[in-house]
Amino acid sequence: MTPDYQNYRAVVENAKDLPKLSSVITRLLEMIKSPTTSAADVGQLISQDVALASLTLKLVNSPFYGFSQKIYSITHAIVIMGFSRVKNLALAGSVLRSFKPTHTEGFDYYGFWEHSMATAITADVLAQAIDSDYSDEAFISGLLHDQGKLIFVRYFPDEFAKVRKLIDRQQITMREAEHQVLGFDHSHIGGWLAEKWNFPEHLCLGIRMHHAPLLARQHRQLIWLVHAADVFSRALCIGDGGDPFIPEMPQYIWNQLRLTPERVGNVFENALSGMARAGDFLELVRAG
Amino acid sequence: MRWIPVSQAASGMVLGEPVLDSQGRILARKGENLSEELLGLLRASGIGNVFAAETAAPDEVPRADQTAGGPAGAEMAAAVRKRLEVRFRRHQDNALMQTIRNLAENQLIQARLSTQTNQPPPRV
Ligand SMILES: [Fe+2]
Ligand SMILES: [Fe+2]
Repeated sequence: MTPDYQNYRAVVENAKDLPKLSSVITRLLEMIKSPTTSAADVGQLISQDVALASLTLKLVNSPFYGFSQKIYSITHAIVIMGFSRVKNLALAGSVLRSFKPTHTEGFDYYGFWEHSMATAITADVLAQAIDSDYSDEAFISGLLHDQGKLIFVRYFPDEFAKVRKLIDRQQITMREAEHQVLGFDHSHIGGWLAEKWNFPEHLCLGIRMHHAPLLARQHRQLIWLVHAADVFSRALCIGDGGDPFIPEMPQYIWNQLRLTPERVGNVFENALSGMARAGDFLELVRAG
Repeated sequence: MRWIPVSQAASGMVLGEPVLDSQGRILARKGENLSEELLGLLRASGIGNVFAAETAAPDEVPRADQTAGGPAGAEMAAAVRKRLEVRFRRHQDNALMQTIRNLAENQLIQARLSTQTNQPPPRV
């Protein structure tokens, strides 16, 4: 990597005001790396943080999931949804809360989260449609796949202004413009943050590799899911993906995910209806 | 393209060549998806091997009716098409991306038509 890359990385990693996750989430991320951690341990930990627990329950009870009964406790949520989904919802809520709105010229903060949410929902629906082993992880990976953009816009506004100009003038994607200006792109920056935050490996890779799915070696299917969901959510014109184009989906990935027009048509339909029920998630962002 | 036993064919693959029965009648066309349903039919017809391909682009997707929903519907459909044309303009020669485009167009038009009467359409 170029010296520039290391310099940029150092700026991000040493930034004093980098968004912070709550201490309970930090603990949780450590705990889930240990094979001896039980669902009960995690449930207990989340319940300890009253704000985090109530935020998680709010999302669990939101129309997005549409459970017929109200769920009152984290333990109950774990019984109904499973441990990994509840854990990832707590993480999602915590991350959504830790970013502060960015007011940078030319960056649509709300549109950014709409795109992220649409990618999360599409990845989730897609994972279920193909019965993926990553069904519980697709949502959170889609939600955070572009998190590097938030860091980029906030810490390197001059470079971002150049990127915006290039997108308009040369009619290229944000990622292509980033490569011209920085020599790397927001997926790298997102990866730095994911590592700094001690995210599990599959989530780090889902973020880091979403624009280079053919180079994936580990957790390939999750990376392919995030890549496909990014393409699909842009095809559905939801939110702001940073440029008015759509990244190309390699035929290889379409085949590996066992996609068919019929399947993808269903995924589109479910993603659109999921998006219409996702207000509670987006409200977290709007509240700032 | 590979010549494989039907037992090894998996859904997600497509036929690289048509499948004919012993009388030369076409049982399945080239490019057809080896779905569970088709595989069952082939097995039932006593077909042992097929040419399977993994890389064929999916068939073109028929586009939604552009005139449903009266003049307002047609106007909306035209707006959706226009928008997608811009988004997909770098992929005009890419069959797979055009398939994705058509699928998105159909779903967006359908979703808009069903919300047109009562609610505001989702923000896009
Ligand atoms: Fe991206
Ligand atoms: Fe994206």
